[in-house]
Amino acid sequence: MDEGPSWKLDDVSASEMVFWADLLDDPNPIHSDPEAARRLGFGNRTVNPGPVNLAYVLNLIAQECGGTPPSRITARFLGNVMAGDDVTATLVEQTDNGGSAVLTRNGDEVVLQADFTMPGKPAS
Amino acid sequence: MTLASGTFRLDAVLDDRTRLSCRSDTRSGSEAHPIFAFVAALRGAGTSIETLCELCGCSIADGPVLASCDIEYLAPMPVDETYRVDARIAERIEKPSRRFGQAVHAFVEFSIGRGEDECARVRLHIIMPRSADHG
Repeated sequence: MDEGPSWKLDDVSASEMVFWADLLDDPNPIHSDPEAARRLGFGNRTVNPGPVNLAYVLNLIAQECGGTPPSRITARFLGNVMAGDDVTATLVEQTDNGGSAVLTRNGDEVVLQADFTMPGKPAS
Repeated sequence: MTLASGTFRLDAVLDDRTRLSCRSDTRSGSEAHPIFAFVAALRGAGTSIETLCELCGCSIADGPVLASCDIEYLAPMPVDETYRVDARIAERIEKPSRRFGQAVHAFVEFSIGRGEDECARVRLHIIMPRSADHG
């Protein structure tokens, strides 16, 4: 998916998942224990906490909007990013007051879809 | 159900480390990475995600997942400040899930404030698998 401006990360780190789980005070074992992730049906690799995937999209918005954060963002978490995946956040639509972005893993699987509004530009 | 309130301390060094972790640009000025509205909500609430699962009749060990979120940014969130976090469970729905079997859908709302200002509102939809152990 390369229609619009994008932000990329080539290798999602398993050790950084542990940092985020601690930051969020989230002891969910799927973020730190591959065996727990397997047992709970997520495959053999640990799962990136959802807020990190949202942070990637916020990085894209900052990149494309001069560092300005949105005034509102609504995100749907459609899939999981696993340790070792590559991810790409892509701006798929830009309007006068915001836009839409997706995060894909390994080239084609959309794992997050977000709509955002920029400050001073209320949604029409 | 109103949950216990709490606070979240957002230090510059934590923002720096978090930006490094998610490969964000370095901070310019004093404003933290916008993901800190979400972080403050979960980390600063007086109720942990583990306890939240228990309040909903579920267990963190069963692997709850985030379905959606809605964040409104109402005022800047600079670093080196302490934020007040209020939270409530707005709705709890139990229904079957194709993926998880029986599951609880919890809709949780957070307000992050500093002084007289409300800085952000965060609404989360969390799907909590409900194993037989917690039926």
